[in-house]
Amino acid sequence: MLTNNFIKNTMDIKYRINVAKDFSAYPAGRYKSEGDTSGEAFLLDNLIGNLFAAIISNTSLEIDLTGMNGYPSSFISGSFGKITNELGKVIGIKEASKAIKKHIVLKCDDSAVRKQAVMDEIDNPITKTK
Amino acid sequence: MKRSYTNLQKVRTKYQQKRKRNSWIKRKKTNKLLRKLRFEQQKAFNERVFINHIAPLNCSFIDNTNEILTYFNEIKEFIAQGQSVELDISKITHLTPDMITLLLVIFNEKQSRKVGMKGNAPNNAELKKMFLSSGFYDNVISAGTKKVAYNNKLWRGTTNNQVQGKMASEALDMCREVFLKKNIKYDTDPLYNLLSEAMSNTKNHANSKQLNTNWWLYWYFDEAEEKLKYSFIDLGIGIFKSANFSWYRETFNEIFSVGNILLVKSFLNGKITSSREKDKAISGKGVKQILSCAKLPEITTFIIITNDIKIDVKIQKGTELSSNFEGTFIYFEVSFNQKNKDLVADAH
Repeated sequence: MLTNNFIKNTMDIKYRINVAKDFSAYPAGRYKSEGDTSGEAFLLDNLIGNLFAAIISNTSLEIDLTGMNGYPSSFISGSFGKITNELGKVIGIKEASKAIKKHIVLKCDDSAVRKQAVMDEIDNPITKTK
Repeated sequence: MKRSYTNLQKVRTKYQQKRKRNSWIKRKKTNKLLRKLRFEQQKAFNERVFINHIAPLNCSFIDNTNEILTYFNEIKEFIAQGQSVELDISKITHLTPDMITLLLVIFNEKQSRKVGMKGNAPNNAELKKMFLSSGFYDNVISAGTKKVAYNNKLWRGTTNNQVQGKMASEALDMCREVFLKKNIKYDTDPLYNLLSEAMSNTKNHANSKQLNTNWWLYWYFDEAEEKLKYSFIDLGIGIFKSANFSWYRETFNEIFSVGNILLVKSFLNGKITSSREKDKAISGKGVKQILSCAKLPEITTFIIITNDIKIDVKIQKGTELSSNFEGTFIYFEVSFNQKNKDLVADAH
């Protein structure tokens, strides 16, 4: 198993999401209107509830990315980027990233890049065009 | 017995009275007129004259872009004028898989179906085999069935606000299979990202007047060249027209009369954001993700044709085209020959 090098998370894992099994192995699109496997659908149906539950109980949420087909930017931006950005509007992007990373443990047995892409999105949800 | 006869009489009388009503007579007259009109329309449709439009001998959108684009735009003009066209590809000497998608797009446009189009197959035996077994005939009206070969597959999708992730994954099954035969567990994540982002972007490239924009995805397994050739096409409005820097182009065009070629560098550097207003701050990474695939060693060719520009993403160079292509065409080749096998094995 690839270890998560990005987060020094020592909290107990109380909540778990296996994206491929609990959501879809074919993530694609940003908005729910683009399909049931979109980033927004994942955010609303799986991520937001589990993440808030983890934050409230001061535990961790393990997100298993194993078995997913790719990591389209519209999907990770529509889920991980969206939640970081929305929280960032209230407490600042850096603080939002920190808070989310504190309660998330990423796991992926078949690709290190997938995990990196999600981490990058949480760290920098805003698109840099300059 | 007598009682039921009386009932029948009553029904009959009621019906006869109904038929004498003005509304009844008027409806019957209108229907008769409509039937006549429909018959005449059908007669005119059956008797319409087709213009025989001969395709360029080098039938390759990738290699002979300008000539094919001119041909394509001429067909579009005929269709716009209501003129039925016969696409004559009988004499072509060269045919590449990317043309299959382009021809299908022409045939399947709503206006083309309305006006009427027909075509033929190449005379050259090898090209004919490739054309007939491409799955093209499954998507047009034709006599008889043509068996689709194992070495290619075609998908039709529609924006309809849906991104077909499963379809993107299925399109990469062959890629996984081919590399597995070479003992490589190939990571298709980047290509999956590319295809699903291309599908997702179709919606953004759609004309605001269009409800849906169809897209086509096609792969062709070229065993001789040891390559898998992927083509993705949509007839939206194109990347440069839909991008939010269109104001920049228009201003420059007014002053210097230059085309989209000025924007190629910015596009390749990922300095492009979505034209969408919602979630603008976090949007615009899809194009970067698509372009990043060109860095993979196994991707030996990566071409994007959109509006008046052809971009070779692999060598980071844009070329201005002689005419405009209203849509976006993405083409890439995955090579699995020995040289690339080593590179891929190192990379993954």
